[in-house]
Amino acid sequence: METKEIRLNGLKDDELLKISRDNVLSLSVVEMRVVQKYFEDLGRDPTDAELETIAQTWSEHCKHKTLTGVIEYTETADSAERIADSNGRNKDFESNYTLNAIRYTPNKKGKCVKRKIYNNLLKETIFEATRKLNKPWCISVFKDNAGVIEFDDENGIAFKVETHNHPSALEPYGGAATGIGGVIRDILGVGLGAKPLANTDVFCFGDPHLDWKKLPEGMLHPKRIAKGVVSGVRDYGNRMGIPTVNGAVWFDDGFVSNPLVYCGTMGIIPREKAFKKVEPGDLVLVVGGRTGRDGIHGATFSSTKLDQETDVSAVQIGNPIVEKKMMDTLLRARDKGFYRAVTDCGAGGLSSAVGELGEETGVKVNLEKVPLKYEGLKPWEIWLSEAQERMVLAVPPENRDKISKVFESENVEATFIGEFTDDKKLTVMYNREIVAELDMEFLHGGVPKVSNAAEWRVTEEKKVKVQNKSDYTKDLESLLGSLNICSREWIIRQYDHEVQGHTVVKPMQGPDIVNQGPGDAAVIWPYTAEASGKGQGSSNYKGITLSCGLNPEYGKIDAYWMAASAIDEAIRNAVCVGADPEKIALLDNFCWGNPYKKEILGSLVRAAEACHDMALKYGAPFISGKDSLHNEYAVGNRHYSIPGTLLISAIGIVNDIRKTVTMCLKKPGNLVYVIGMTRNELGGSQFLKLGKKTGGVVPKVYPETAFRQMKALSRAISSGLVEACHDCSEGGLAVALAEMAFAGNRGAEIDLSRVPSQEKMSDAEMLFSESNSRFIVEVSAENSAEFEKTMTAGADMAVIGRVASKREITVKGSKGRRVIKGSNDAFRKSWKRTLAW
Amino acid sequence: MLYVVEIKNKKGFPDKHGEHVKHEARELGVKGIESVSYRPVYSFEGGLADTDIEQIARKILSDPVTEEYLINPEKQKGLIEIEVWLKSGVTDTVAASVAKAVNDIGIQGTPVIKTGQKYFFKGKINQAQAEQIAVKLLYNPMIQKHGVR
Repeated sequence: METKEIRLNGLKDDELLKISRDNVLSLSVVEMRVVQKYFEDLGRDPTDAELETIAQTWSEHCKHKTLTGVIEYTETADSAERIADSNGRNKDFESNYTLNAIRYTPNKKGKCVKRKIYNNLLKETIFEATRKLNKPWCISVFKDNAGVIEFDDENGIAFKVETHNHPSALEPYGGAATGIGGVIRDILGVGLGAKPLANTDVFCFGDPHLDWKKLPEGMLHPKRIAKGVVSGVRDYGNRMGIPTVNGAVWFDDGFVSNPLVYCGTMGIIPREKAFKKVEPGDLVLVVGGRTGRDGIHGATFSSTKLDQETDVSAVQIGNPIVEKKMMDTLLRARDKGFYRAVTDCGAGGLSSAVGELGEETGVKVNLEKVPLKYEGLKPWEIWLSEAQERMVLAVPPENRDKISKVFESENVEATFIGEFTDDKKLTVMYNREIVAELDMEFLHGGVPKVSNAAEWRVTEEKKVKVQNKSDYTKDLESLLGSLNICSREWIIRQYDHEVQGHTVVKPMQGPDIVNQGPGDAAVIWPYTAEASGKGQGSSNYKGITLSCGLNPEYGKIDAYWMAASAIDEAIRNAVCVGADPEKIALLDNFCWGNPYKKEILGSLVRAAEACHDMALKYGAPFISGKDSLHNEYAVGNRHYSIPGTLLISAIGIVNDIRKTVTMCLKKPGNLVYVIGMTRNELGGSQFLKLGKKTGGVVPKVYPETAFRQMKALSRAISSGLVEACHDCSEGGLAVALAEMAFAGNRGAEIDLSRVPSQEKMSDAEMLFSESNSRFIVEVSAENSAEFEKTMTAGADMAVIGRVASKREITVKGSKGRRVIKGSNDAFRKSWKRTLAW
Repeated sequence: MLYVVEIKNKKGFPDKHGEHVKHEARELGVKGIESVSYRPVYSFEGGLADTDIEQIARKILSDPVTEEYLINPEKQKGLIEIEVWLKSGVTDTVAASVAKAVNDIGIQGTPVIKTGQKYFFKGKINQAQAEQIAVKLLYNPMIQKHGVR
């Protein structure tokens, strides 16, 4: 007997829990009782494979139990009240719109300002916004491996971002490589398969200069993790022939033991291929890599309990060559219409891939047919293995031989292992022995709802006093060299961001290889090949933008505004290159600490609420997402959670790629505009971080004004009125200006007194405040009248200076004195030096 | 028969990887190292003749313009050597590619192939420091084993 029964019948709670723990099932007592009852009703005990399948299907990773469970959320404050208007001056907020802004009023001690029960947080915030927006251009949202929106009459575009945090902490190279490999398969597994066009990568690491003595026992040094992760993404992405075009890197000591590795892939898919449907009688086909013990129990394993040999099983090793061949053949089989459904083997391996495809019908598989890397695997191990580069297809019997030939042609292993049935049951066989037999309804719908408490304590945001200086040149130089602002060139240049030949706007921008700055968003023109084939150029100049927003520093003050800022940042980055702000879709990736701590879950609830509010205000639906909770580590009895980190990725459309703009300054004499209001919002800023100060007033988002200005700016860009455009984010106005100048090898003369601001602010506050929704725009003198007309009346904008031919940046302060004067070379050097590994 | 093939850069071609390791060892606090040279290593066990391994090293494993190969080299005197190999059972995709290439150039044998790395340290460095460099910078006990000599 290869399969053993595990007795649950008659066991008490502590015994059930022991079984869950001993087998690394991660099932709670309540869940174990539900399982016990199910098998009691069947009159038998479960097999090891059945328990493993249930544990996998009900895991946090697959079912998002916390975020779809019940959350009892409260907001309390020493003294505060919720109002629709955050500061009494802002006309943005309509009265019927309860934005989560809070006004501080004295003498209401200990007041609970909000109490709300969420029965399903994801459904009631993020999905709800998408449902309310009901955009006709959304093709497939939240139900497949990726979200799909309309590109043009023929094609849709699919986008997905995944995290691979824990594996990357254990083995940075392999963890990151399989992260990118996995998300590529998500794109291959959406609908009937999309063709990957571009990858994105976002990393959060500990300080790479961390003193070795401060490194927790058993952890790899942040610099080693960073190098390993970058090489992993590089090798897998480059070998797949997919350009890596957009990303971000964030450094914070909170990520020393829990680095975050987000990997994204965008692909194009013919609209009629965007859906899948399994029919009873279809055959189950496994294609790609062989099955070994890789990644069994994924991140939940405990290495101390495993012996020498199985110890390696927790780590997944990627093989991009296998995946590349699988990708090429799969897309060929798709175009011939040889299969009816496809999905990838991710977490849970075959168990979740086969289980998902057979959810509506039922399925029966024979595990002895699965090709193995080596002998000796138990049936449940074959069933649960997370070996990479595998996908599962539903093939109509009449296409059996035809599809086999396609895969054979590139030496891709393809093996039929069973068929889809109509009995709504999951039946797993091994050499005629039944290994598992479960009702689909129980497997997918039987998980009991969990209930968690969440709390948010409102505190007053107080302005942090910064010392006035007469000169900020050195501050700007230090900021440019600081970890969260400095050049990512060392990473970007290891990636092939040009392969496939369709990257129109690239991650590094400037006139030559030396003079370069950080682009805001990437633009992909998917019809490049088609256009060059015709010789005349295609008439379809539509392009796709990819951008992102992330700032965990803001979340330390208020997760609501962190999320709102990330959404604004992702959208404004897309607008910078010329995307249409009315057709942008978003992805959410929540990486949080221990959700059983109510203040941690509370901040997550606030972030989710902001996602809902901002998505509605910007008309930008969420189309897919993923969460990774429990990012926590223990040193002795102390537990450390990561700072709650929300990554927002945006996919947008540019109607004409010939009209896109970059961020580098172009021509001396041109006017420099700032769009958007500068506010006294230094909270969470890199400037305060540099001065080792915390707290402060975190940047807010005023979505109505912001969205109106974004629409106008997009019109101006598509009318060809804009020479360069860059957003103000980390480091504020000063950093954005410096980046534009040294990227373009041009100078700039700026006058701070002209910058529109909400209140009287010091020079430091004007220069370094990170207020959202701001752009710096270069416009030629002859276009300025037309530009201003396009931006329409009421925009918070002003000419703040000119592009200069002398390669230096000079800024005049509010009192008319010069507060910054420095050469491009000095600024660029500082910006490039920090991560020049 | 066990063959070990080491690949080293020819004179005049900088050893970037070795320089990185030297730099990082210094950050770790081991300051007396004069130079580090890095070599990828391959081992082949069984099924090959001397002429086969010569061909494999020349045609598959080394770049004739920038690199040279050494078959079963002696330990270099006066240098501390760290070697890192994948644990058995860990998927070795590079070895799988080499195995395929070996057959592609017409060699029939099916040797057991493993891949690893060697680092040679010159200068002031003792066994304990080398051990520290290995653990902290060069190998990951999750998937690799190492040796210092």
